Amino acid sequence: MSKDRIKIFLVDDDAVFLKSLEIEFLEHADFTIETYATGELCIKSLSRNPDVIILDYQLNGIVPDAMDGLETLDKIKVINPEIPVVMLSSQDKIEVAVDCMHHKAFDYVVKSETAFMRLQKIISTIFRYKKIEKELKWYMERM
Amino acid sequence: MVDNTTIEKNTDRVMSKHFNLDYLTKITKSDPSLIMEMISAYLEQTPPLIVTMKQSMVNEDWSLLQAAVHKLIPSFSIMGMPLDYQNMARKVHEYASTKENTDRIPDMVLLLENICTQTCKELKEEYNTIKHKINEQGQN
Repeated sequence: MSKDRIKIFLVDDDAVFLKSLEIEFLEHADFTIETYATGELCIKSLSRNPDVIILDYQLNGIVPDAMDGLETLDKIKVINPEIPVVMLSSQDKIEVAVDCMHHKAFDYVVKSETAFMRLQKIISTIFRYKKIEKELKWYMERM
Repeated sequence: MVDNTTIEKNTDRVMSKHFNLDYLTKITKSDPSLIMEMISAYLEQTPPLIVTMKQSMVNEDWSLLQAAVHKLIPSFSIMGMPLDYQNMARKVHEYASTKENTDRIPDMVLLLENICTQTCKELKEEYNTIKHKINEQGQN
């Protein structure tokens, strides 16, 4: 039942990495995956209500006028600040990680063989937080 | 420091192919059509990136070179290419981003071009082998 599945947007202009990540997610029945090669396409599709967005940091590398990862992240947060965004990058650098956090990313993952495992853990954490928030709200309304 | 000659010698000695599909086999659970899709994505993406890499090097457009190498790096581990190559690509990325040691970039870019071109050639053969096997299984 796709209704119960977590809808994830994967946004990356690296077709090889994007495909590998899509395959790994689809091996797990709980996910519905939509892939986008540009930030622009991701923004256009936000009305399709993703539960989580996994977004590449360096999106505008080759196409000069394309939106970069942080620009896309900012636009997502303006349109819907509730969507958790996890940033991806092949650079394991503190500046990149801090940059992502400053722009309200939920987390930052380095592209490697273990990226999928990290992403799975992060997604579980996101949904645990959401559940706690919901419960807290329920109790607050009754206090 | 990455020593290009050592990499070439080591690689020739240890590897008959420049790739290893263990990781892909694992993530696809040995599904040949998914492996073919991945190889196809690599074959489509890599040659234009090599062209961009070379052209940006000639034009000394370090930010474009950095972007092209950046996009190339994850595929090294996905296609099971030796870590030395990935480290070399990371060096090019670093030199292009800091604009330091730029005189060392051309040799490394040339070597990366050779490695990726050879890998593409070998992966094309692998793609055809898998396709052939699927067709044979379909006929039986």
